[in-house]
Amino acid sequence: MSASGSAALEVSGIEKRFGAVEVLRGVSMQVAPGEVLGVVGDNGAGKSTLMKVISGVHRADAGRIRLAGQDVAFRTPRDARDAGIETIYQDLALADHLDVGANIFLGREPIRRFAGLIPMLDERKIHGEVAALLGRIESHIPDPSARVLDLSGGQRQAVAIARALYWKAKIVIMDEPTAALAVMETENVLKMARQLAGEGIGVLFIGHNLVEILKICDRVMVMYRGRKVFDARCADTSQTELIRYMTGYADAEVNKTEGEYQ
Amino acid sequence: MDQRVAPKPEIETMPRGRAALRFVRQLAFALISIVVLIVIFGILNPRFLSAINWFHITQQVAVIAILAIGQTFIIATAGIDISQGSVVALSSMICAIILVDSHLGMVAAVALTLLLGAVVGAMVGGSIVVLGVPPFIATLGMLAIAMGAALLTTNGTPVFGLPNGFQAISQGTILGFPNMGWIAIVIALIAAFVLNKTRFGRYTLAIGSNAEAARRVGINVPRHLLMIYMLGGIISALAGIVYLSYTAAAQPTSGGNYELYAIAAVVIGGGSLFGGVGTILGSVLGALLMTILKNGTQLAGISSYVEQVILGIVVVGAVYVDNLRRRLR
Repeated sequence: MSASGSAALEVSGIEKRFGAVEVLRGVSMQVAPGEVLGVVGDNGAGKSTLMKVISGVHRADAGRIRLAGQDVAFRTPRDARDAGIETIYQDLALADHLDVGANIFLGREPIRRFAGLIPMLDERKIHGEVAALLGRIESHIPDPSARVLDLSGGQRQAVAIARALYWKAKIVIMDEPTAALAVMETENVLKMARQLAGEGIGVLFIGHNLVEILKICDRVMVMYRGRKVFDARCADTSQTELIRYMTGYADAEVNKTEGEYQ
Repeated sequence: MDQRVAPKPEIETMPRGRAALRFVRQLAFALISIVVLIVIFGILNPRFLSAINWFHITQQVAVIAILAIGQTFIIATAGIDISQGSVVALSSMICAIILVDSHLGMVAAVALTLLLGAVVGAMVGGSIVVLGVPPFIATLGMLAIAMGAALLTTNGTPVFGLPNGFQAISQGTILGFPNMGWIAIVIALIAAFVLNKTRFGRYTLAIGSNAEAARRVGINVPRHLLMIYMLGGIISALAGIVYLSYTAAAQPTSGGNYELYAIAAVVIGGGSLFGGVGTILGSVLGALLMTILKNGTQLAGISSYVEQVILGIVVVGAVYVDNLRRRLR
């Protein structure tokens, strides 16, 4: 996407097996800064395993991951987060009883010294930063001290997204973020995926709804049985074509041309 | 509880105001109940309202409040500690034996007893975190272990003859207010600071709210839980020391039902057994309510057996209300 061709994330030749089962069979892909890449495929195609490799949950058996041109190897999800890969899980992974600010900063709270000695949470900084952040992403959350419990599904999603944004993620993985949302809220989440991209983040958008994917993604890749079988600009493809690849109908011809998509 | 009706963000109030309102609502139940109980017991026996009785209530509330503070941290992680009563018994026995049978002195006796509490807490926390035993069972086991150990120390006989200086800790006053009350207040202030203003407290609530979310953001959940139960053990031992100073003799069978008072205090004060919620002020008010109940029934001439029955009903009722609160959300 970007003129220089420097990808935000570039993976090549990723292989992963669980026992005898080859789940990923040499997957290569890349995302540019500011690009939303749709990742589609039937259940068991290897999408979520690939995402778990990228986010440090699993280690690949072979292949390399480059983040902004640098080779990286993650041993834990924490490593991946620290390197700038945020995952927004389907279940959002928020502490419901804590407020919005506490959730955005959870695990990385700013500290100040009480009486120059005792470390304590810097609440003023947390709430100040969060208020500014929430305003910037049009989250429709006017109050950083609202408990997550009291928020709607879309607002909860916004909290997770704000977290990624604040911590200057380079890559955000959104794992079926709209699966459990109402129509209006889905619209908001899709808008926020674009917003993240607008901030220069590379977004991996995993989903099943092809209408959604084609609408908000710049590019889409299809996985089938552990391989990437298709990769195209959304403007240049169609639902029909994607389904052909997702169902393996076009598998045979893809095997011939796979090498083109690096 | 009509948040569900309006999921849209009608939250245009000042940020601080909202959090404060939530806090007041949480405490309202405990406060109103306290006032109601004071009126009822005052009518049943006017001596209940006397200054000397409130002096005693302040002394009595201290031990339960200290235990409730420890319990607050544990319950906030969605755990529970039902071993508190027997840990109080064990630690007061050990403290008394050191004071009476050794020449180590008061400071060493207190320090060693607190160390014992830490070890007890580490055993409980270890069995939860390493062995995967649920908190209820781990502390049920510790209840039996500590009770047995307390009886073993002297073959079941009490320990008398504590140094006068040690008893003075609980008997003295500062500014006319009992020392035991001051001790509870100081501990409550420290605990409130830790729970609300530090990472430790925030992680405690986060783990109770969603342990998986806490783990994913990189919080070391097992280590934190281990520290929580060690803290709980130390606080129980401290309650044992204060209790020993108050009763002036160590009984291996003392501390009975104290965990129930503490658990009731936490839940009445707004804590939830489902985790993620709890305030120190709420728990201390809950402890005050439980103490008033205990003291008031005595003065009203109600038998202590009946008081136990009431205690049981209050615990179950409080947890039922907690369930209800949760479902109504």
